[in-house]
Amino acid sequence: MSHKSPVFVLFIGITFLFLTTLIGMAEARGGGRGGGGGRGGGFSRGGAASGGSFSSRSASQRPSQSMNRKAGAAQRPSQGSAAQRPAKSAGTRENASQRQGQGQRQENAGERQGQRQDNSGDRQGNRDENREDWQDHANDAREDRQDFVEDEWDDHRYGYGYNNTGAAFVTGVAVGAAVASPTYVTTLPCTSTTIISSGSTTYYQCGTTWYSRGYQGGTVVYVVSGAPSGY
Amino acid sequence: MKHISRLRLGRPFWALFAVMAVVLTLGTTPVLAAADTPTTTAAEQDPEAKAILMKMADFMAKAPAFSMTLRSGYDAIQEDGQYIEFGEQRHILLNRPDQLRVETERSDGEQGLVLFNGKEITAFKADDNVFAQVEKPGTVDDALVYLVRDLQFTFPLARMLHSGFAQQMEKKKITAISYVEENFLFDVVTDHLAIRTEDVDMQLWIAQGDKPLPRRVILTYKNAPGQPQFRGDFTEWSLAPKIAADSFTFTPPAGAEKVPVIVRVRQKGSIPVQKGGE
Repeated sequence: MSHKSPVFVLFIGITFLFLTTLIGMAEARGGGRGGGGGRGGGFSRGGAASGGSFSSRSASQRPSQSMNRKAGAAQRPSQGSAAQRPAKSAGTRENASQRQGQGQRQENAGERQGQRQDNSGDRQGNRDENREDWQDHANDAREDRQDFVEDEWDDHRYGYGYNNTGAAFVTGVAVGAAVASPTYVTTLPCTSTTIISSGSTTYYQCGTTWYSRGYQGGTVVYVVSGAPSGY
Repeated sequence: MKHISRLRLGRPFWALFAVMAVVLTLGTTPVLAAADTPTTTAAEQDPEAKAILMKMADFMAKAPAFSMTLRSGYDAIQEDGQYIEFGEQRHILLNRPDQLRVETERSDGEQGLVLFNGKEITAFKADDNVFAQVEKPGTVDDALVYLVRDLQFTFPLARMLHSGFAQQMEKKKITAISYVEENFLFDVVTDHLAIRTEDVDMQLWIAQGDKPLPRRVILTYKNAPGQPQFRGDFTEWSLAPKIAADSFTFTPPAGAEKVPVIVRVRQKGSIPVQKGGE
């Protein structure tokens, strides 16, 4: 028996490698579970036809309130768990940092520090810019009112990547909220998410950045926020 | 050689042959062309088709209440050019002037709800157990515009729920409108219309009779890359829908989290400013 031991060990090793590879292949194909509980993922749900509008002009034909979103990679946990939502595609923190390095605004970088004080400082420091954002928003609203007169209020503009897989940072205006110009992502840029419930708010942590949730365009998004109390 | 010489034809014959060939060609070409030419042209403005369209729009706009199911699908063109269809289903209950309920289910199972009660809009995502509320006193028309234009909610065919639908279609620059055929494949006989505008080609199937409600719509975004389509089927129409006491009232489920509504804004310098804009 002793002279068969090396062969036996080799057999066990090959079997182990084979099974490991199979599991990896299965994960790659299945991609885990999607937001609705189904399998799949990796395909973009966005596009010019997704809005079902009676009119459609490209963004180059008209200024848009939205800014560019790049298709990215991320995971989005379900409520109260770190379950993966592969329909939003798989992603890593490196992607987030790469995007950050690709020209995100400095205030975003500041907020990514994940420290409330820094965020507060950034917001104060960029009050003028926020005011300009509000001004832009007001201008856009005026333009939109003009468009409404032209009966184009349901115009879903394409060309700016209405892409639900996007995890690039976008800023917005929080309607009826204290935060005037929050930065948010449509999907979290990390796979291992720490979830903390603080008061009535759920917080998610990716690296040093904390997120809470918001509603944007009929979709739940993750707003860069300060850390919850005690963190 | 003699055999060949016997087949040799004289000049008069070739001249006659050439004349006949020309006559036949000229005479046949218009016939063939006529056979291939569609009965409609791109610039046709069929008054009958226009009347059917406007009758439908006017009927929907004046209906005091209705409910229906809209099952839709659209082309999502991937980066590599592949067309993928995603679907959604919406149960819509509208009670003019100021009540609206839209239950949505996406093809991946994600469920949502939008309510409007004349005072505020509530949006709820069941999977995330998250809801948002925004004050918006006014009519369903006000809420629709606010949802789609300002809050940027995805609300396919929202224009059809607006009481100004007929006027908006009247104003719309329709470059061509044609009557395609009578269609017998729905629960009622429908009129199939083809409508062209500058940016969207539409096909509509509208029920014949005294309730000219749409049964199907196809929108082709012809100026968008890949010319994707949106397709929607209307079923379960009711002009006297059952309205429960809580149809337009939102009761948060246990553990539901209230979150703010975020509106995307244009960042300075990211997009060119429109000339003439303020």
